[in-house]
Amino acid sequence: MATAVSESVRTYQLYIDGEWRDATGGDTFPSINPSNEEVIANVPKGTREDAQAAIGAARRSFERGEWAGKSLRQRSEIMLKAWKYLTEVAIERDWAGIESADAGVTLRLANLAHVPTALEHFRSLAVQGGEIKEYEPLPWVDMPAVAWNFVNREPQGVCGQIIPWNFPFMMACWKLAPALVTGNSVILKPASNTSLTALELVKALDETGLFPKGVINIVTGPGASVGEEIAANPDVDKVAFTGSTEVGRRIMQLASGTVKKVTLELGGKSANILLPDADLDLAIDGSLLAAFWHQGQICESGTRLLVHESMHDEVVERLIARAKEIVVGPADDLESGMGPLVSEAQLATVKRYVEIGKQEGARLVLGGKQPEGFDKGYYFEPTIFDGVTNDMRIAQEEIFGPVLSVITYTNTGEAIKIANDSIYGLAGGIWSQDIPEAISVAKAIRTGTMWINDYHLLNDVSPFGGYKQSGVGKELGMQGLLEYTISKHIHVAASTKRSDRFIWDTLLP
Amino acid sequence: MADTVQLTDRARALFDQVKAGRGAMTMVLGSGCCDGGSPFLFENYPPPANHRHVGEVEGIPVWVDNGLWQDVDLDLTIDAIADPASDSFSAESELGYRLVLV
Repeated sequence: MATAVSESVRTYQLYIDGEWRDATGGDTFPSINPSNEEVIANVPKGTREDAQAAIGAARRSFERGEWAGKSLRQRSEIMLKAWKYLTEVAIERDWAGIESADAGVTLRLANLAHVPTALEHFRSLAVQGGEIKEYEPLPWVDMPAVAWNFVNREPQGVCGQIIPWNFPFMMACWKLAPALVTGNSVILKPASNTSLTALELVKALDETGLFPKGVINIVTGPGASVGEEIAANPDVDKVAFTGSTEVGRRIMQLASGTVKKVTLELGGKSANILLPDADLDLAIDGSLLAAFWHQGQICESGTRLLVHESMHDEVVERLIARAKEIVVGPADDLESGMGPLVSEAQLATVKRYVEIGKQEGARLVLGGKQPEGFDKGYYFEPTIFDGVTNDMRIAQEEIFGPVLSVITYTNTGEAIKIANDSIYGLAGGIWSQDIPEAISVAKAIRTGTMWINDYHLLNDVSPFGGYKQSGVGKELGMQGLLEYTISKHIHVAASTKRSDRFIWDTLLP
Repeated sequence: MADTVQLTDRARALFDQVKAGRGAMTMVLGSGCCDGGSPFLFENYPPPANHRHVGEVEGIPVWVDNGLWQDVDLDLTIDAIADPASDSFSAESELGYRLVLV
């Protein structure tokens, strides 16, 4: 395991109140390339004091109002200018390559999704932000008094944003873009093992000179210090967290001290359902995508495959044959369809769950081990368990790796019941050529996103967020943007006459 | 339920350091997303609803999510690994360690 802090690699810094500096105490930790276990950068290990400094800077910047005081349209235009710069720099500075080396994302995926799609989402969220009505007249009412009523939409204030390691750059864009366009000041805490593209993004935004100091801050460091400070500090108005369920609960608990607004995007164990009339020429590839894209390290992955008993044998046979064609290799190899898992810890977790699956009596029909031929790197083969029942741990717990559990069902009602039998409700899929039937099934499942004849595709206009213990609130789309605003009702009395205010007579003689 | 919770010697040694200067500690088993099964040590954390008590280690109560592990007898052995890059929200990450299930 690489632990040495190498002198020859780049050392990044924190960005607080418009200045780049080291962490208090100067501690750093290494960022490791999961394809070859080499150190690729040193990242500052932020402390509670650093988090407090960043929160203070965000608070002061919000109160000075240089950014918050602009109109939505003005901020939207500024962010489009910033976006233009980002698109140039992204290529020059090879952000896709950095993401690939930092997070084990295959270049094929980084070059399509992780960086360019994220930048497109940034742009779109900036544009949609400009369309929010910050001042909205309400219908005329004359009870209990004749008045003009308006809604004034304002920023939440200081937003703490904590993101995970699976789509580092995209998560940073999804958090920063809506928060900034709506006038908030932010403190971003990226996942420690994948901080580099978030740091690069903030550096580029700083270089534009378009954002007043203190509006954007980034503090890298452990959740136990930096993260908890963000969740508990009274100067933070809103916390947005994407990560694990138990940590989401902890953040809600800490945030409750000052009644912060909280949005959470947590775990999932989404059911991907093949109805009996599914077009298998689509559904086989689609189901493999659902489970193995980015090595299964996606919260909305379709990790439970529900197959009608009439199709079971054909489906499993075709899944295995096709999965064997997936190339597992280094993230920077353009041949690789699957790269390594993000860390040694994640590899250990996946191995543990494979053992649990075997012990529970599920049938391992593919994979379940590290591939031959690699003496370094956290690689794991695409893995399929058959004969899984929904009460097994590998059907209830999120593994966050390339492990698919195949469950057989006999009728659609049973499939719906199985899909709903989970503490999670993040996403899911349905494969069928009968669209009205598919939509009917989609509506019966308590989950935040349903894909019909597709999987994984999120876009900038559609809200994303789970039901049940998969989270609180939505991201993306107008709904996600509005969660970064807060609204004030303004009532202006239309009459100057005391005699019109008859309600007052209930108190005063 | 026949749950058991044990610590390795490494983990036991770490716990004294973690407890020092802190209020009441609680351990919960992580779930969902990126922390599948990692133990979390939180300070001043009332056990959430629908969690059950599965044991105690070094005086710290351990709770698990009954929604996930209602009919499962958990046999937990907790170890500590040196990890200076640990990102975790668990208290030991400040000391450069990570608790893991063996």
